[in-house]
Amino acid sequence: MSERDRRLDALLARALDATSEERAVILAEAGALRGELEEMLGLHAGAPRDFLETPARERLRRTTRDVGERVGRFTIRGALAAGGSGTVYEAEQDLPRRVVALKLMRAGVLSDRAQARFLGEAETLARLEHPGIAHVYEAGLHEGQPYIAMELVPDAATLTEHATGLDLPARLTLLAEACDAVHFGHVRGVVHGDVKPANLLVRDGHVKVVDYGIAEAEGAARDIVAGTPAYMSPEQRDATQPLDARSDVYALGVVLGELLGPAAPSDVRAVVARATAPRQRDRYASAAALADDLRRFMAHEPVTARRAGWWHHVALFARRRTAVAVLLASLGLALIAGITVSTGLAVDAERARADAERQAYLGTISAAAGALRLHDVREARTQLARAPKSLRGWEWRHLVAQVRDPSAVLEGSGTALHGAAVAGSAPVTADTSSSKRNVRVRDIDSGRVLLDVPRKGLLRYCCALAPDGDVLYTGRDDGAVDARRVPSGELLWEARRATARVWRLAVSRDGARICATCVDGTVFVYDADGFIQRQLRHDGGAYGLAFSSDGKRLFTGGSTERDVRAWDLATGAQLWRATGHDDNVEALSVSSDDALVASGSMDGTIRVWGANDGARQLVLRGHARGVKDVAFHPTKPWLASGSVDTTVRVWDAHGGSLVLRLLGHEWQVRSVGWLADGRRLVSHGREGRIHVWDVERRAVTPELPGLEPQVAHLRFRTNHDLALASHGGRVAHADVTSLRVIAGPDTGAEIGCLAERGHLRVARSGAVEHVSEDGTVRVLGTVDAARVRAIAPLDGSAVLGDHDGRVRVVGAAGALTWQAHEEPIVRVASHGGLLVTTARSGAVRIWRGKARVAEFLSTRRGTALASDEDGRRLFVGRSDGSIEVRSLPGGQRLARFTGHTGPIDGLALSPDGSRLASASQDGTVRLWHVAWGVSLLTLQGHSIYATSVAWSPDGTRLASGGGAGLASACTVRIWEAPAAR
Amino acid sequence: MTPDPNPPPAGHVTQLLQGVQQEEDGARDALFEAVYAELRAMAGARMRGERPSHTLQPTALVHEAFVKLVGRDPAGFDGRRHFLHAAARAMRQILVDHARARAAQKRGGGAQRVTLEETSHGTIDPGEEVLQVHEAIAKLESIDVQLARVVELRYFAGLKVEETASLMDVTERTVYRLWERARIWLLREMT
Repeated sequence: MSERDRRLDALLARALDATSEERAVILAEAGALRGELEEMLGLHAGAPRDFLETPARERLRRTTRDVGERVGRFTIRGALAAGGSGTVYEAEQDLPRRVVALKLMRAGVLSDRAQARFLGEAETLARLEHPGIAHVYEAGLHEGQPYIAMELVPDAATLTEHATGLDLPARLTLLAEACDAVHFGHVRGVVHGDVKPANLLVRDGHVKVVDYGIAEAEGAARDIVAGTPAYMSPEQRDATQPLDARSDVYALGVVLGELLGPAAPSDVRAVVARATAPRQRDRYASAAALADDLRRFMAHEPVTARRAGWWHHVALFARRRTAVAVLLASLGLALIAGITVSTGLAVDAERARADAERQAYLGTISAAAGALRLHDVREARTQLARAPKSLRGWEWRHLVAQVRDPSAVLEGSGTALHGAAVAGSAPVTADTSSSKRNVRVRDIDSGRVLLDVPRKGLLRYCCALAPDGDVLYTGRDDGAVDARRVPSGELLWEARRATARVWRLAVSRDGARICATCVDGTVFVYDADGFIQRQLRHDGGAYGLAFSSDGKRLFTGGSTERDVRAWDLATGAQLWRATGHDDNVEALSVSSDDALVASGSMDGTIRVWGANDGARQLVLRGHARGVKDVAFHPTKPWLASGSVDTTVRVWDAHGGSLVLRLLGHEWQVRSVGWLADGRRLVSHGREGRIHVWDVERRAVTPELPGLEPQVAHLRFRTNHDLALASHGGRVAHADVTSLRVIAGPDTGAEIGCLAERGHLRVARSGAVEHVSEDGTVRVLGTVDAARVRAIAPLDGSAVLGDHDGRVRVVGAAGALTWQAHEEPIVRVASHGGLLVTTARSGAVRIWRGKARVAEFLSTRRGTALASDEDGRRLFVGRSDGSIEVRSLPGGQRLARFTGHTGPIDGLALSPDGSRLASASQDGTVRLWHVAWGVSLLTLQGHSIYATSVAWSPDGTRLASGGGAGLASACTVRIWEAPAAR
Repeated sequence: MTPDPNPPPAGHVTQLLQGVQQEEDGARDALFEAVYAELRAMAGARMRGERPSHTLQPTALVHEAFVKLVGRDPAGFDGRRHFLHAAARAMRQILVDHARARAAQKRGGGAQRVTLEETSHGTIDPGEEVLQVHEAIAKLESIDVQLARVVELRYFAGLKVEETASLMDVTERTVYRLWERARIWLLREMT
């Protein structure tokens, strides 16, 4: 049996590769097997294209969930509907507690790119708050599976179902409502993309549009209703153009057509025709225009879809029986075509425009932020460029700085970059690619190509440059190493001692030695004339290679062995060997003072070792994928790294914190190197581009070590100097430019906070002390240290709240005490001459002196407080994650910002009063637009919680303090938004 | 075009699978992930041409996973093909077990099941598909072991065409050819 099958298989193999004539011959040859062969060729022709294309694991990934099963923060209650792209469940959310419609998308529906867009748009979708739109609460990924949590619309019928039995005006009203809702989304930059009756639900007589904004991401997985007209516009079907509002107009038009019976008036038919015109430009420009025409029809006015003649207008007027119309007609006066009659809805065009502009701005910000999260720099740049200029604020400048334009982008020698190098002292770079047959040397300052060396056949080359950039060294697949003068290209020497492929070349700092490592593990050290000085062996081959700065030692990083070895070049002896990486070591670099060696590995980490003994110093984690190259800065203790994850990072090699993350490469970063001026970093990406980054213009979130256990208070003393304090009054100072943190001594104080010039603390003895910046201690008064719970500065005095609800003010003017609450006080603050106390239950009281001026209660404990300069508004951060804006002194609530999912521990208003920053236990820092009441940006930078925020005086920097739990060190992050150049 | 002359000793794979069966989903998943990662890494390395083809050791990760599940270090895999075979079979077995468990759950009682199911094409249930392909692979092996290998690597291990080509040491074109033929055979066996 097998023999027979094998013959059949052989025939099949030939037949699949054959032309039709040849196939006929093969079939004839098949003899007894002909029937089966034909059958199999038939299967081949008729096989579904995606048969077995989805790997088994993805197929098994569960999209069907059971009742009671937990998916992230949701608990499944039942299934509602299943479709081509996924299943919709009814689910209960934990926090906030509510029942939602949870759509779980089927695996493999979204491509990587689509997934990125999906996440980027989630925030935009969440902002669509309209009674006619089923609100999207959140969207994201759960264990790799995309989900959307939406407002549940229970017991709802689809538009067409509900419309049966209704008269025409009622149906048109419903559709117009749907148009209004869809238009609302358009104005905010969201196209629905999948409008159909199933997505237009009617509840309590009103329309709710569901399933927003995911259709575009879904691409191919769109429903086509068999046998009835498709809702997809021609441009959607053919995917010729991106979807826009008019695609939704088309679909709405199709639905409208379905709502009409055979006796529908011609005017309405004209509306349908215009909405479903094949060319986008022939349709209504917006869903609102479509709704307007429907309303015009219902008001017996001429619809714009029809070019009405004079008599038609009169006829309509007559129907409305206005005296004016009758009079005009009797006078035989012609009506001006296109006369617009007021529909009774006054629209303030200016306000609508401002509204639309605001929403457009918000849309671009959230889209850019989403794109950046997935390193899609191009998309982010496009979005930011679109933001309306007049509205650009801190968050825009912050994002722009993230997408930093490198000072220059040069074209490399071709795509599929193979090797690259930067000269040690001159701004010259060389690179070789697999796509073009040359090695190219470029001058970075001018961008000029200095030399192009053709490669020999298909041999791949790696390269290195002499320090002054005047000699190019290349290593080939056949083991040869040669040296050519730049720019003449004159061949200086060629060494053919090695026979195995050269992996990596390095040149010593003085240019006197050149080293080549080969795939068979041999390591050759040549002198500047091409004579072999030394031959070493690193088993398994070494891809990492670096000379010590003094040229006396050589370091190699092993591929298979995953080790780092140090060699003495004078004797050839191995000095030490260090292990620790989990995968191939790809690159090495030695610090300029010869103290440290850094190794980058495919395991995604960088390890820093002592150069003298190989002692482990640091592990730098953060790259999402393998590290391909590392380079120490010529003078500062900084280390640059380039990774397969397309990012370039700059680290502080002493402390281990991340200084910079540079985005821009589209493929793996293969090489990084510093220019001698120490200001510019050159990186080569496999896509063939060379980026030259100016690191002076730093703008991305450096991370500083903070104070244990928590950074409770932050305050910028100047734009560069940041003061930090823990709850217990331990103070530290950080310099934002050098990133150095100097901690003050631990004095064992009970509680403390930062004050205008220095800090306040309560010693164990109960002494309330003011410590000024130069260290002088002034005792302001005494309290019962054991009972104190809160402290805040108040014009040179200190105000304290205690466990018994008493407030005490101590200072130069004496002491003042009163009973403020009947329960423990958790926070005190002073704003604009008023004192604000928060008690444990959430009661917030406002005082002027001892007199209570206002009070408001919150059911959830109020925590953080902030106010504006003139003390007219108070911002209260609550433990349910919301922020209230209250007027001072009255205490009336003016607004409420929602978005955080954990208690708010820190609030700070920007110096210009336009933005509010909040730090929450959900680990994020959010930026709010105060006047609009919306969240602009979410900054993710702390691992578990964020506790404090502060603005620099010039408003360009935001500092946030946070932590990862009591046991681990907490961090301070600096978020920058430099002013435009 | 001939059956594999050197199949690995049954012992290795069986031991591995026994270990897997004793653990719960998490461990199974971990092993799958580890093996998958290793295969991809191997494929990637070979594509870069950066690893000598004769010395190929699975990473510490995979060793760890093996040790954790099997209890002792599996004897060194002699040769890439050996490891490849074991890895592919292990992944396949993990998935088949999963599909079987799923099928059992659906038939069996217990909590209220949500009955809605969507499928990509026709009416074939994903779990059924996995099991049927698994059964049909034996047939493929008897015809041409490369056909079976391609299905194991592309369908069960989920590797891309270039990775498969790299591991099988053939061109991408060959992988496409094999894949086409394998699908025809499977279609024939399964429908």
